[in-house]
Amino acid sequence: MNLSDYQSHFLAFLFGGSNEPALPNSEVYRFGVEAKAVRALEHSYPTVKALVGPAAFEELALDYFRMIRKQSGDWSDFGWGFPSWIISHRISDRVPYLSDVARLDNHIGRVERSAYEEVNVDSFAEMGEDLASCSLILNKGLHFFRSMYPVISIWEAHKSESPKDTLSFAQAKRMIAKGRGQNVLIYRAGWKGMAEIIPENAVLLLEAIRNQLSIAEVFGEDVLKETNFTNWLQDMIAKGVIVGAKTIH
Amino acid sequence: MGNRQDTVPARPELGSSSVGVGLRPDHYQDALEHPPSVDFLEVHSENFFAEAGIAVDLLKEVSASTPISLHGTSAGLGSVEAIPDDYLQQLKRLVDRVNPILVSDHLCFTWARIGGRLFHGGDLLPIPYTEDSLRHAVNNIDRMQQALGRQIAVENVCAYIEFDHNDFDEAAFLSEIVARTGCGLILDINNVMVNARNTQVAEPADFVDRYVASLDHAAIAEIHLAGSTPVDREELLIDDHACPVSEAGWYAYGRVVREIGPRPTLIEWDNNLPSWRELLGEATKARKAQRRVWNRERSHEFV
Repeated sequence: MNLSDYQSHFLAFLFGGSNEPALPNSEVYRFGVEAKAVRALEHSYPTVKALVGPAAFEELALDYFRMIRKQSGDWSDFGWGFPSWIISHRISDRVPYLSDVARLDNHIGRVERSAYEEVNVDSFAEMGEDLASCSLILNKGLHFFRSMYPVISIWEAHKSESPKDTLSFAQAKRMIAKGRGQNVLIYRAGWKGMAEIIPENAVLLLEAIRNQLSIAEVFGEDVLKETNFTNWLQDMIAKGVIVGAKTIH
Repeated sequence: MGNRQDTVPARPELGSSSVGVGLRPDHYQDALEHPPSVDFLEVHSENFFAEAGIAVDLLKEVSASTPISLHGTSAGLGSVEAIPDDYLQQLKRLVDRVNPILVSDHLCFTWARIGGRLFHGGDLLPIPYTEDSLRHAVNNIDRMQQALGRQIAVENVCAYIEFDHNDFDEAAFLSEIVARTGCGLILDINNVMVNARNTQVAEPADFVDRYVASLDHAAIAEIHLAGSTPVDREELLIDDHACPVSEAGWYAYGRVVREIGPRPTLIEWDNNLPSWRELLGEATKARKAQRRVWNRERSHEFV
């Protein structure tokens, strides 16, 4: 076996694709790497672990590691595809909201590691009277999404040592029974990733801003006419969600 | 063609008797609240590859007062595959951020292709010491030195498997790498001792002496000391960095310092972490060990 084949074969063995160890004691490395993979996913997906329990999480993490394998040198990068991979895993039959919960965990981790933009206060002063020629700038680091499940309530509940005793747990249970979901906004306060429920019109606003529509166009939409522009904008600036304004025409 | 020393900018200097400790996430708060009484801090490079965030800001703050040694665990210098560009770019960004006293990684492989796709093994995977391995290691070290525009240091690793065929012993392999690339070396004494123990070398202390004697002493930029959790005689000893440096480790360290002179020395402790205070206590032991050797040498001079 040449060097290239040895290295490929060794990695295939580590990822469980080959049960033939390259050399005696190779399994020491497989055990070590599997432990690191589980630890990395535990760190990135704490709510998923809390939901399914340590044993099921380890099984899930190892399934992921063996199927997707590791593609970058940074363990904290490992598992970025975990939320979408979960959808096709049998565990989703039992816990259908697990993928969305993983998505929330993933976005929180990413927002904490991203270059979160500062608010450019001066840019708002340049906004003229003509709102048709201005648009708002979204922070590139933030995330928002719609979920068919009450993911924020589930996430809040599982921060507790005893989730079942929390109000969030009771709320999540009620909402799942009624088939109701939550829209999620993930942003950063200092270094900490935050998540909160936002109403449907806020999602529509954020989508319109991301599509670079003018302020007049955004707030001219029928569904958004009732939104109080000033209050909403102040709240979004305070959270660093909107970081500036710019002239577009 | 090797990237010889004269084409690579010299590394920033650190006093030869400097002592440092590894800074791990559990101790970040301690390091900020109680600036360490050590000469440098070592961090694992990949833990700071993020674009931004708490870890990056913390490292910037700590590096303003304490020199940083960037120690990689993922480059896979011995891989047949070239180190990917995005890895080198992330490392370069980090080097530019903290201006480290040393950039280093291990003599092992991590990258390989399976079915044409590139994967990372996630550990320090051993390589045979052959001409072919040497060629790939030299290429990758050259590549990293070129990308960073500075010299790097390469560390010997623990290997839990043995290869049927080697063209070199480990020390000769490392010396050849130094000669061809102008890189520096990190001498991890515990790794040499663990390998000696696992391959049932009769006199591990003599083995360490012989190993060190055949290295290019001028190239040794840093010494690493660590502890391994003891196991039964028939079990494989794992380099887990989970306990204090053993008595045998301190003994070997003293002999190495006597042989090659003082070198910046790092206490590595990665698992089952002690308190920050206890960790710094290990660094003090290293200082004392250096002083003992130094005093003994001086008393011999008088005699």
